[in-house]
Amino acid sequence: MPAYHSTFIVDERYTKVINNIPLLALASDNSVISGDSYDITDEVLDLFKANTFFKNFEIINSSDRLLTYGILYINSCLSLLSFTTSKNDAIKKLYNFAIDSNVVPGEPNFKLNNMFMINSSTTSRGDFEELKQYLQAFRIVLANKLVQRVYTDFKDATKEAEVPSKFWMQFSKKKFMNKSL
Amino acid sequence: MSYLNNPAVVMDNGTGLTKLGFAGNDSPSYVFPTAIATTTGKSTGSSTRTVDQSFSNLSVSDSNTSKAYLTSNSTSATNFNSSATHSSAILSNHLSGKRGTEDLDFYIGNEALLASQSQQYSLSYPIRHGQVENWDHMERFWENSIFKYLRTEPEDHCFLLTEPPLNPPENREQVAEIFFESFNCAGLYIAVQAVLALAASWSSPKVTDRSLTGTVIDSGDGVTHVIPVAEGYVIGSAIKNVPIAGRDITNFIQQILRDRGELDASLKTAEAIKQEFCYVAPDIVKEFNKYDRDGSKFAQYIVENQDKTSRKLIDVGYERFLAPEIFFNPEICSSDFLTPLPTLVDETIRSCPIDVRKGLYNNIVLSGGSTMFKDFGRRLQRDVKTIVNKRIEHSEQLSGTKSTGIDVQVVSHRRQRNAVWFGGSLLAQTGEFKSYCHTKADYDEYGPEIVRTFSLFNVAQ
Amino acid sequence: MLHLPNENLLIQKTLYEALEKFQQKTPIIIDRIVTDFDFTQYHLSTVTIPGNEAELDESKVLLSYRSKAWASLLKTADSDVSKLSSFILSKLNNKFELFTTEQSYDFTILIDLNTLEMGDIVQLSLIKIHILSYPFIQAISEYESLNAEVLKSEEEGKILTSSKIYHIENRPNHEGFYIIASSDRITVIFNTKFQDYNDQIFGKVFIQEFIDSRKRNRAIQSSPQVLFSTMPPLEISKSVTKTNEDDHFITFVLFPRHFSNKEIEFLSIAKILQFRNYFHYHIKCSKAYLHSRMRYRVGTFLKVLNRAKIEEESESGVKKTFSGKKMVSF
Repeated sequence: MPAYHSTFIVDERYTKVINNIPLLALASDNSVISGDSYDITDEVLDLFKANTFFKNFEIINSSDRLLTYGILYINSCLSLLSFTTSKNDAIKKLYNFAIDSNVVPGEPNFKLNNMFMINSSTTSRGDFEELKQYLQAFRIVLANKLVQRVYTDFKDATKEAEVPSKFWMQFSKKKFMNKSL
Repeated sequence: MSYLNNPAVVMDNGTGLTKLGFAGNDSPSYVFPTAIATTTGKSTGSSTRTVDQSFSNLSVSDSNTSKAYLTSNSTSATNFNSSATHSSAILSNHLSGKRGTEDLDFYIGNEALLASQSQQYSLSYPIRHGQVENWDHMERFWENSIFKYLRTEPEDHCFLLTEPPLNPPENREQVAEIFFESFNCAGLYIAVQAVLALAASWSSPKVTDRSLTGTVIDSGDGVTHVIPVAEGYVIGSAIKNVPIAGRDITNFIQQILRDRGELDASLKTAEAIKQEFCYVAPDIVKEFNKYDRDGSKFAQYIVENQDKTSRKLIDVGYERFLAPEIFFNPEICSSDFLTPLPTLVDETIRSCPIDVRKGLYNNIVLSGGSTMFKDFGRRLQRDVKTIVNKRIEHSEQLSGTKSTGIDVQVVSHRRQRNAVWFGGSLLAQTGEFKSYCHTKADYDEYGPEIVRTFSLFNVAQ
Repeated sequence: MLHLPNENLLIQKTLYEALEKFQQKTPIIIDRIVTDFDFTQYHLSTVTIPGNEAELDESKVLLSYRSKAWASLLKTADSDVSKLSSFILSKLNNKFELFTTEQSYDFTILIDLNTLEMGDIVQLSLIKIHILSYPFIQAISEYESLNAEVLKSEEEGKILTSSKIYHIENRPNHEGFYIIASSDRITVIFNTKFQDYNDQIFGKVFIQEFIDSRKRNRAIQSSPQVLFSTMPPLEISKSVTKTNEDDHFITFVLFPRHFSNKEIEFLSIAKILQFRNYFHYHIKCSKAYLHSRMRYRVGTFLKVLNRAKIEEESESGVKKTFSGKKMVSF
């Protein structure tokens, strides 16, 4: 059984795709109202633990790219935390990280350009900007949700923990496909 | 009352573990590492005892010596001995002072592991990849197993030994030379491990016809074999190996424990967690979610030091299902071997002659300690079935005809851990066993080549 | 391993496991066959509750014993089973009860895990020696009475020898041993056979070494005297009815110091009882050692062969001396 793929099948009629990255709806926008709150960020968090073990991943759907990006992003987030970081510190750190790290796929210093098969020569500046905005929002949502999950007591999912759960931290050294952002 | 009806001795010498016992028992009497500690020649101890003294050293009062191996009956090849305190008691061979008895100065099994802690002995494993590498050591290993552990006079017993598939016939002859010439054993039968594992599966209620056709998945400490057997004969050309087995699982668990910064991430702890907590999950993502929702899935393992003064609590988490998962997704721990076990099983069977394939799919038998995880058989059955059904569907589409389908069945049973030994015990306790053995008289008459062939057991019972 | 251990490790291990599991409140059901040298077999099994054969009483274990030696052993006890049984039970410190003898076994005792201790397990693992020590103990008591008689008669140098010969046949083909008590010694004579001609030769070398080393080494002067012959020694010539060519008689002479106290007595008996096994064990070890030397030799020869090259055919004109040296003309 190979690594898990995203279940968000992109239909280009409804979802805009820039630089091969689909701008899938994030639940923080309007979809919460529509009741469909499970979005790509939730999926990234769900599949993160299983997929980090894999070294090969075949991109079938363009949403897999977003999934890959998300998983690698969580990885970088976890490596910022230590076993003793408090929750408030973590929120700050990860927020700043989400704002700062703003290399957009398609830019020359984005490491996964090859893998994502991005050809950005035809992309307009406006699209670049839109993708940048979208990914920043994506990262912020992801970081927020991650903090919620990491700071839960592993023995009792309803309780909050003081320090990050070691059952999340154990993945901080793992590298999905031996890559990092 | 027939006194000459001694039970046959069943010996299964594996790469990691040796199982010794008597036919008719339901479990081996001894399970210990196939290890031998031989003297390095540097005698550090100054033992200048007289014969009389060493006589008395073997007395009843010396119960310490015996206690050491009483307490160390581990079930794993990667053995960890908790009774290190006994090591001083056990190292009282008193042979270092006697000239000319160096060949008797050695230990086997758990005692060998203990002895090797001192400078005086060096440890070696006479069997590599299932085959005997060092015959000198093996001969002495047998010598000690027979006389010290089993306390049998080989002249009075028949022996059933096992061999790996594709064992060269020369090795069989070597075994015969040792058993007939050194030990004068009454009778010898050498059986292929996979065939015995098939026989052991007869104890499962799932098995209705006692056939010797099936696919054996034998996973021990070092390697996992997939061995197709048709009518008692191994289809050698189709055998496949997976370089993933018990040791890799233990290492994988250890790595996870380290990543998580647990207080104790020794191999010993990893081994214990593997044996106590691991199971096979149907789907890992779902299993991860279950753990995140329900904290009771996490377990705790307590590490105590030797004198039980300090305790460490080790939390056990995802490794419970992730570790056995490496059979089904080797990718998660190995970078060079990527074929999942179910795929390999399917490939193995497809490389066999077409007329036995159905029987091979029908009777997939598990054997060895690393197949003992809960639901291992069920997951394997499901995955193989999925592969087979997909292929059938595809061919149905292409040909437009309806296939009768293939029934995939994985048999797991209670004797799985020592399946090979148990199969040997089953066969050797039958009345006819003696007639299948080659005897010392045969050997003297024809020479070692008689052991190249053994008649198969009559399976129609 | 120079000596064979006295105790049966497997009995020890099985009982220890049973006891440990029982004390941890997770009792196990045992049903195991264990063997020992000389056609001895034990059966350890969990007791069924009387009247309800399907139910097991996990706190009680049966130990059944059977051996080739039993029939002749019984003869030395005047065919009185109860005499022999009570002797064996007393050897086990009377901690165990006799149980209905299991079918096809000779002797069965009941072990209660509630009262079992580590020391008892060791004793139980020595049960074979305990059982077979019966004729020895008889002979020793006979020695004592004969010795007392000699002392009473105050006659210098008088030696009385019992007319009773204890004969234990513990292996097929009349292999076994004889015990004869005298007023100053106890003589034990083994009759052993060799299956293999090679073994016989090894055996002779061994026995010679037994005899010689006692003469050579002062430190072991206190060990029993050993004699060897292929003819039945005079002591037992009456009771050995027919002899075969392959009979070998080994005589051990035990002096009072070999049974001066209980501990030494036990050790002497244990060693004597294991003599045949010890003997054959070492014959096998020697063969194993020879094999390893042979393998080593073959290995070195092969190395030489692998290094060897076919010599180039030298120029045909060169003459050679008889020893192979080339004749060089100046």
